[in-house]
Amino acid sequence: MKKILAILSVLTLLFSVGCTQKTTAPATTTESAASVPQTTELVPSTEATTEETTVFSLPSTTVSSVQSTTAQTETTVPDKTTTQTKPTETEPQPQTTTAAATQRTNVFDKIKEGLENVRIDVPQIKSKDFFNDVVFVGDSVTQGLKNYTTARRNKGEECLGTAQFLCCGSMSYTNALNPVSQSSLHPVYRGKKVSVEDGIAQCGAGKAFIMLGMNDFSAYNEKTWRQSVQTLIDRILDKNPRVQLYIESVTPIVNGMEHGNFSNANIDQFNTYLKDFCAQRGLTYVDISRNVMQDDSGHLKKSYCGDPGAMGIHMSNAGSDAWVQYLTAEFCGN
Amino acid sequence: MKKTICFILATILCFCFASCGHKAEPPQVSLSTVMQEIRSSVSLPEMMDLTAENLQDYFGIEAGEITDFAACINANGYEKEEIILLCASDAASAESLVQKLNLSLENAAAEMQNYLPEQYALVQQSAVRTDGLIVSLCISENAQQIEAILDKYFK
Repeated sequence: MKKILAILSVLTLLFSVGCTQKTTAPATTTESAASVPQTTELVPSTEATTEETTVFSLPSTTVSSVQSTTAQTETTVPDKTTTQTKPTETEPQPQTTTAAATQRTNVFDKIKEGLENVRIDVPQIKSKDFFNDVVFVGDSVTQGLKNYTTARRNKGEECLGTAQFLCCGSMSYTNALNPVSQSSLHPVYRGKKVSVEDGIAQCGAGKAFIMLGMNDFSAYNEKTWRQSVQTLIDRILDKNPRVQLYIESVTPIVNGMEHGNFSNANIDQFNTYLKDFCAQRGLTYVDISRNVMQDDSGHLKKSYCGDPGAMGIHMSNAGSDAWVQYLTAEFCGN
Repeated sequence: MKKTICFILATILCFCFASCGHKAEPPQVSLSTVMQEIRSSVSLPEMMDLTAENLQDYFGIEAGEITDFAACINANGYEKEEIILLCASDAASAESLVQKLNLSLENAAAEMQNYLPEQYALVQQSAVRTDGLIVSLCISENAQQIEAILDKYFK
């Protein structure tokens, strides 16, 4: 009898183990499941077409660091000014090139003249890997660019390297300053809602392209949105002191869809402020509006508009394609 | 003594049978097959398919949380049409997936509330659905038709 009980016990245990294994291993692996890839982390580009050459130490004044190349001689892109505004206190580094030495001399000349903010025009650095450490920050217009880019990448096409996106429809410079909450307008990064500055930090970006504003000038007064631009940029740079900021212009509205404050005149006013702000703060202004999207009358080109009967501001595939082509030509050189 | 041992063993056996019987069984059909039927039955002109990598990017869904999926979203960036079908790896993953899709739904509502009223209404009518290990979200004008197809396979 004892033997029978022992055998029965062993059988019971074995059966229990069998059931446990079955519950933890569902048997529906399909083609799509088999192709589930592992997470890939963004790795900033390290291709050596550029080098950080100079960091100036300016006691109790504004300090700028200058990016330059030793061999690159591309012409300066119009409407762009490249410097960094956040102070970095290190000793001046020795210069090895004539061009770089000239730039440093110019900087000190300007300091001698008592300028509070140093603005230095340097050639835009072009690299095929330029976008690999970029994050695009924006509203629904940039969300459209994200979807366009994703669709192309899914087809195996190259599109803006491995650039990432932090987008949220209706997000603006102003409402992005609100605390993150269930109802706040903030981007989601890996399943969690984050502030813009935290999102940029979490995705490990070296460069951030910011296109906000469409939901600022139409909803807030000028004083408010001017202050919001400054505050958000300061927060981003405080949290990410080494990130390079590229401020994209607000894109225009298609003909026939302007109403009230929602006008191309107000977009122009907003963009003029952004351009001046970038010049003042040593950030790069990227004029997508004038260089890509505007027709002769200052409206969004009809063929570039994906919602002509709705809002008249979102891009068609042709518009997104032109946007990508412009960015690629300007920053990658092809 | 022998009777007691026999009773204990019998009880253990009963528990084993019970736990096996209540296990959430994965579906017998591929989710891409279900999605194909949805897309052939319902007009979805601007939708783009998502890969597993896209699921992580758009929803924070990790590869290990799912054993099968089929997903598409509206490509234009401002309309919130989404059909997401996921088969969770296990019950814990299913809970996590529900949370992630609910967050997406909340965000869509916040985006659309003062922006596009019709889209906001669509989002408000939508809810994350769970059928065993299948977790799904459908934001669409054709949600009723799509839900009927899901009922056919999973209910």
